[in-house]
Amino acid sequence: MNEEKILRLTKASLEGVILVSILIASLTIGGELYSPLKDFLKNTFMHHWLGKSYLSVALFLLILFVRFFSKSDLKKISRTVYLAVVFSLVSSLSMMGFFVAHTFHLI
Amino acid sequence: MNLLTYALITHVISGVIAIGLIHLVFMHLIKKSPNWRYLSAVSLSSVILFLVSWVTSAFYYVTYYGKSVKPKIVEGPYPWAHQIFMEAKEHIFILIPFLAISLYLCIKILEKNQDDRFKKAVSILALIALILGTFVAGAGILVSGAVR
Repeated sequence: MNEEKILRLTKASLEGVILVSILIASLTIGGELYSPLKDFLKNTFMHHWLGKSYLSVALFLLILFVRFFSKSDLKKISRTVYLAVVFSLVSSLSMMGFFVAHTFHLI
Repeated sequence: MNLLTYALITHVISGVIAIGLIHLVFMHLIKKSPNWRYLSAVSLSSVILFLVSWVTSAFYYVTYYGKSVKPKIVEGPYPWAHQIFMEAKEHIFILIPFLAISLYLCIKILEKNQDDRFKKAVSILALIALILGTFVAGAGILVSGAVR
């Protein structure tokens, strides 16, 4: 694969990480607060966790395909790396914080 | 041993080795001039192992954990082990293979273009994957210890 294609694929992959971070946190917290969402995932995919897994793979592949065709350079990719880091951290901390609050009946 | 036991063992071993490989990638990334071909092979191996860990954990978690392990933890002396750590671990885990794929692709770029600023950004990406992976592994140990 030539350098330009790797640059485009990497940026698309990092954007995929950002959107998957948002998706997982939304489905997880949303599913706990609004049970029909969790039930929908269970009924459609056999288990809510499988639903989140399949949907995140589908979203990641979709972003890879759609964003692969947009131009990229090293400066843009560096910025996207930092965004992917921030989004994955915020997503993880928000889920952890939510489950702590939920367990102690703060939510 | 049955299929479930093999799935659990494969999930744990492949996950732990994958985290170890991410650690190796991070340690090499903070060096002045890493061997990019070697790092590329190591990070690709971590991607494959994370995917193996994901598939085997799905089999164990969906068919066994919810019915047989979760009730014991929730009714036992440490219900928070499931309510906080298992719940957080199982969802944070989903992010890690995607981070590992991105890390591998970033290293493919660095193989051809050793830009210092980009290298620094990629080492932070590796560090985040390592921190999340270590949290997930630690939470797994804690959840296992809560089964009574």
